[in-house]
Amino acid sequence: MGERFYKTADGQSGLFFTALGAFVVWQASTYSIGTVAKMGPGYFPLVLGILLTIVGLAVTLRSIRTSQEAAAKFEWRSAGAITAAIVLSGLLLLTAGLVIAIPVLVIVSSFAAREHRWSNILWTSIALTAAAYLVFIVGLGLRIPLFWG
Amino acid sequence: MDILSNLALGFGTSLQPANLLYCFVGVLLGTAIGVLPGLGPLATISMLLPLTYALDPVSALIMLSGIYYGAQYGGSTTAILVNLPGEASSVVTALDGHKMAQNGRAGAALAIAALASVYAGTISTAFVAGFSPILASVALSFGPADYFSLMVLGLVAAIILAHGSLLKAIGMVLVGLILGTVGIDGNSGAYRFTFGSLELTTGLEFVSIAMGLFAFADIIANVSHKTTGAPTVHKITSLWPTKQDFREATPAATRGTLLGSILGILPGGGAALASFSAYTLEKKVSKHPERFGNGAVEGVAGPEAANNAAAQTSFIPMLTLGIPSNGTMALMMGAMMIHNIAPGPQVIVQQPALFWGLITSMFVGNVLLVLLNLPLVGVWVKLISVPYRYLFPAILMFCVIGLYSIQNQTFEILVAAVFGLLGYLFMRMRCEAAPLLLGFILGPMLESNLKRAMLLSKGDMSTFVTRPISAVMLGLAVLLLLTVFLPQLRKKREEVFAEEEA
Repeated sequence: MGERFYKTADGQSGLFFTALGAFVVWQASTYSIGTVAKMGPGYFPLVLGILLTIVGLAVTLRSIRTSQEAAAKFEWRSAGAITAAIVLSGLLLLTAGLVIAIPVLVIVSSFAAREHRWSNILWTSIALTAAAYLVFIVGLGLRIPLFWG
Repeated sequence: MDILSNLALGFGTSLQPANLLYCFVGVLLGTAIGVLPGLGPLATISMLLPLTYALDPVSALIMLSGIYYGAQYGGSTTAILVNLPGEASSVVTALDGHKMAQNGRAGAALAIAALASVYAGTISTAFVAGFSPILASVALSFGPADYFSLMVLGLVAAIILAHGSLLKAIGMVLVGLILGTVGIDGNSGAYRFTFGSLELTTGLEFVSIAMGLFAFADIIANVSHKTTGAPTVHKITSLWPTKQDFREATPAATRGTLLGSILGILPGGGAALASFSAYTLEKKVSKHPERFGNGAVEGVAGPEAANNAAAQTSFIPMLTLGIPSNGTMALMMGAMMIHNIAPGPQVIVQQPALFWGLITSMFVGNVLLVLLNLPLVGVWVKLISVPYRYLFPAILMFCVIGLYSIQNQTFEILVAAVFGLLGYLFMRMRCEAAPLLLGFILGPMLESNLKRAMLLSKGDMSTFVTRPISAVMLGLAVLLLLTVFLPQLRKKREEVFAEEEA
């Protein structure tokens, strides 16, 4: 007995492709298309969008017709923690400097792991900040602010 | 220019102390990440790309390529010693290699793996050196229609050799092609898919996409259930293989080299496919197939030779035609473009020192790897006991700062974060990310060649089949697509992939 098609890997892929393809077709048609001989900026993306929509529909159709198992679980905690860590530390790098950004990276990303000991996190933050300073600022001479202001 | 003077130029470049150092760093780093499960050459190279801005192009490419084929070595070391293959291409090595280790013959297994690899590396480097100039000179007579068809062939082959569903691989290539259109259109100056963002007018940075799809997505997928305990290591007794071993291993290594060299050139091919095919070949050819899985030397020599040969020859299409045969080659092309070198057949003419320097550095790198690996085995085993919870923040740190350093702005970090989430989503949906990257790299070239071909033929589509070279390319592409739908080959393809995933 298979799962609902939108829960399967193929079903979700199909829906993704179809949605993206439709979006591209919609956007590309607002750019000038031109002719086959003199292609405008919208020609190539339009063709790609149409092809992607067709592929998306085919994949979705196939997922409905064949019985499959559900896709692997989407670990929201891991995805959220890692992504948040990257985004936050990225934003803080310019404004607050390396000394704030790297520990934020380590601390926020540690929520992705199942267990975390604060002593480990502390030492890792210190070690990685020091390593970043030595490798990137001292070693490679990159212009990255160390502190804020 | 004859081949001896080319090689002299090449060695003159690659043996310079600075380049030797970069080669050494590359293969050392490559071996290290090959040893570590989960971190592969693709993610590492994408991590280091921003840093190569500061280096000169030859040194950068020498180091990055060292990482690539060095990783093949590292993967086999842990596959043999602790049954933990660090790379997909080392999975088959573990089958017989670890059995040899359990029989007390770890040293022999390691030596066979290393020697088979350097044997294959030398021969395939010679192959690259001999074959590339011929291919490049043929390619110089290509017109835009021919280039277009060649790229289509490359993408079709990449689709076929990707894991899983063909339709989804086609979809991923299309997504990559679409992403390549983001930014200002060269001919008309129109803004495409920029949604008012200033940073997007120059298009998406492929390093951000690569890091997101491979490094970040990988971490998200692994972080919640990856730990590492200290694995049980098998003692290394005799370090050297017997005469019998050599007699059995040499023909296997030769077959592996040949097979690997051919498979490496195919777009979408690469080390993993080569090593699996070599193992299957050895089993078929052997007079005692029941020995396989119980410590047969050929089961180590063949795949190890094949994966190294494939790693070297996969440079050929990229260096001569400007067509990347796998994701790593796409990143190498990116590294060249960063230094304003347009990859393609003119590279061999305009930048001979770069071309021959890179090729000869592969030979140098192989030698360094043999000298490096046998003594350092103990270090590598220690390395894999590092718990993942210290490893992944370090990787994140390198990536974030690296991304910032591309344009000294935060935008690239945010783009990579988005692609990290997307990459994780793709993994859950079982869509291969590598075809997307290939599509992204080839997209702009595909479009410009299509436009030019249509301009030249005044809108006549038949130019793609009337021009001989283009017709051959497209014919091959159709043939490849047809072969996949033949039932026997379809089953074989699924078999190979099923073995890989097990």
